[in-house]
Amino acid sequence: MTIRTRLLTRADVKRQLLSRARLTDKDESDYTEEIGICPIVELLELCELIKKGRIKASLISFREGMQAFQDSLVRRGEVIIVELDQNCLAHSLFEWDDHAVTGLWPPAANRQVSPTRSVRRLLLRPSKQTWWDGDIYAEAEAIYKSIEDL
Amino acid sequence: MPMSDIILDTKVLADFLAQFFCTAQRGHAYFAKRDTITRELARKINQIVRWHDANLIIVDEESYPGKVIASTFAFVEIARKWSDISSDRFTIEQMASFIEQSPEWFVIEPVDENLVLVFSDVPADVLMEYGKTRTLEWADAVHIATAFGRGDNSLLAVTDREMRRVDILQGRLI
Repeated sequence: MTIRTRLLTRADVKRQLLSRARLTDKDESDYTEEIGICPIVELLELCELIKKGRIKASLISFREGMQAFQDSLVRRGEVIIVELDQNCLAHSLFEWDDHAVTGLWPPAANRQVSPTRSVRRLLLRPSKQTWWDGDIYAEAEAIYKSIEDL
Repeated sequence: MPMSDIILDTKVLADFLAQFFCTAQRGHAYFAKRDTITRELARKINQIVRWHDANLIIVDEESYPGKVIASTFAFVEIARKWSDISSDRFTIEQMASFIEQSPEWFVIEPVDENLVLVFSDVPADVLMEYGKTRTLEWADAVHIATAFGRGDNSLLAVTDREMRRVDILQGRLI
């Protein structure tokens, strides 16, 4: 049996954290064949948009939504939050030739690219470390091509 | 002596790495006042490095001075502005090796779900000394949240004027 993976977009995260209809009481016996891949940067960006007043919601509702998100979908393993840790940084920030570093990875190490987009690219960069199916990196690139970053 | 980690922002981290790979000899010689590394910051870093060198076997918890900290995000920012920030003072290979195997006294903090709620506590705007409100960039807010995440005693070494005006950081800037 194959479990599909799916990119959680900024819109998905907003809906999940701020919607009153978010799933918090799903029955443990409910089964999903899909795992959501949520880059950490989408959570930070949603929070920042609320702080800057570009999304009408309170920080209290954001925090409550975040807590419910962690306690439900994340706890049940239905969503994986992809984090920028030391291991991810070491593998994604550089170009490698076998075990030797040959340079910085241009799609992320580029000041023409916003910090948000750099981090998203690092998180989703396909490598031996990534385990999800499909080309989530390409999907994210297509979705955020025309969306303004912070 | 209370433990107080020191969190470095992007520019301070770059100046730290420049000394680390040159005059400070990867921590085997002293850090000194230069660029954004103030005399007080250099003293504190040297204290941390020496303590960890001296306590490799026997740990004296009473005098534990904390660690030097930077967010993974600070390294991304250095990479994004590589030529301007590194200024040929250290190489890409050196930065890669540092990330791969940082010293025991240095912690590279992740940008993870624990950071999100702390990040929500960082203000969006700051009031400057001349009375005008300025926006705090989210990239700067990540460094501040990283400091919050390291506890109430942690100190923050920052260069950005807006960051230095954040109320809740007063008394924690170095």
